[in-house]
Amino acid sequence: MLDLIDVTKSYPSRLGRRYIFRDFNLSIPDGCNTGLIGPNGAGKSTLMRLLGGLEHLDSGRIVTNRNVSWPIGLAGGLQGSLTGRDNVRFVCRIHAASAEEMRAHVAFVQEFAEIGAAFDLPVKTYSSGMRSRLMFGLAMAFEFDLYLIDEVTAVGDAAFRKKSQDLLQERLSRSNVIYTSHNMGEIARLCNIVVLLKPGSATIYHDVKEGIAAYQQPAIGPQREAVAA
Amino acid sequence: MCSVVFALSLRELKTRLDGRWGGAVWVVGEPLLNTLAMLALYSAMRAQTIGGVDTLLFLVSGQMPFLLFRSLATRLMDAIDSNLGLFAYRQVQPVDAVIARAVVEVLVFSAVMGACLAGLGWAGHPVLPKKPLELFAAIALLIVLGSALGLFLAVGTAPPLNRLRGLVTMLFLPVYVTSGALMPLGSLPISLRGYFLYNPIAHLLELLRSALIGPAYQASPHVGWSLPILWALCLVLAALGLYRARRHRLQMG
Repeated sequence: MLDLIDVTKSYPSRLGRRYIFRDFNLSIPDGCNTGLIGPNGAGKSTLMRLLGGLEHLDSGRIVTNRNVSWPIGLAGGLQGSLTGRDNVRFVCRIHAASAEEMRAHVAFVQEFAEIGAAFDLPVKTYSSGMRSRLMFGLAMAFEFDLYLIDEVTAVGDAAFRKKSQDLLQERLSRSNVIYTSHNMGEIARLCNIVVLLKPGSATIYHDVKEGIAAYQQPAIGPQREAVAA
Repeated sequence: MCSVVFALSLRELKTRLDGRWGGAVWVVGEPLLNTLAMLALYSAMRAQTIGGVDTLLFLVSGQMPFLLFRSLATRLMDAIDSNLGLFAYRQVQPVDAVIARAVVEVLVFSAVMGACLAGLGWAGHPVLPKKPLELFAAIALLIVLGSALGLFLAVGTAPPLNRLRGLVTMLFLPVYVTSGALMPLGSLPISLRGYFLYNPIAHLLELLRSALIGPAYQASPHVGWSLPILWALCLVLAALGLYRARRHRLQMG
């Protein structure tokens, strides 16, 4: 269960306060792998940041009884001056991992990311592909009930994409995911419900194909079961 | 929160030491060099004693604690910005980065000050504190003042105001000059001493010296604990209040 109740979020800007969500309601049932789709600027990334606990709500509540990951694939999460290994250790420490757990996590990430000796070089020297390998491996090293993933498997070369998709698929046997992507093939493959986000509203489609169709033809697509107005 | 501060402290220490011997040498060498430069100045003036104590002890007991205060205030100012990437984890809050950096600064100071005093003691200077509790109280107050000012500046000069930071760093020069790190308050003309006595750091340095050296050091009779404690209270309140008011804006960068 993951409920957003009367959520209002705005940012101050030069043009006055800009509301991303105003009295926004959304309820995602248990056991659903959710595809979050919508045009640019609809608030997908903001929603991810809110779910990840990185942003303060103006008002409203987000209620869940599940263990939610940090937003994976968004900017941030790595400290450039530290090595890949030290970044993994840092994340282990803030999750209060024991020494053995930390060794296991470090070994897992090192093996998964396959970046060789660069694992012991500062992250700021990494290419963007290496960064995303490290970040995805780091997130998958920890067991969460719900992973927040922002189009992360779309980067990297073909071999890495295959590998990360397999790992994610395996993980989805016991966890769930909220997945943002503009790649509808990915959404159709991973998700069993779709949330179509438009500025000011969200619509849940329990039929993934229907949701994707509504997204691709926003003007004529059918809008059923409006969850929030 | 403890594990977060611990993790951040280790990360600060790692980047501070740079993973090389050169980094560690610089961390210890910077305050030492600073003190040695002042010592060279006083040697050139052929001053063997200042305020009734030998020059070395006088400088170490003034310069080092002042550097602790200043590096706390100026380095904590950048603590939030240099950890922006790590706020992607919800358990890492901006204040954790400030606390972690303060921990590292205090650790570095303790190591350098300890080494200095040990070296001076080995060379035959009287370094055993005469009033250890007061010495610790003075250092603790310096840490509180520096950390509170650092947190206040970190939040107050958060982007887009971060261009003020250069200016703020320059403002530490008058604080330094009037802190009595380089001359005892008792040796000043009365007309000047009034300005020094507005500076809470000057009070603390005098108190610290008389706690370390004992009655041999002629502390100014005008100094007392009340002004630094009042400053510390006000600064802590201001810093925490400002942080509380703006904490949600700090993670956005």
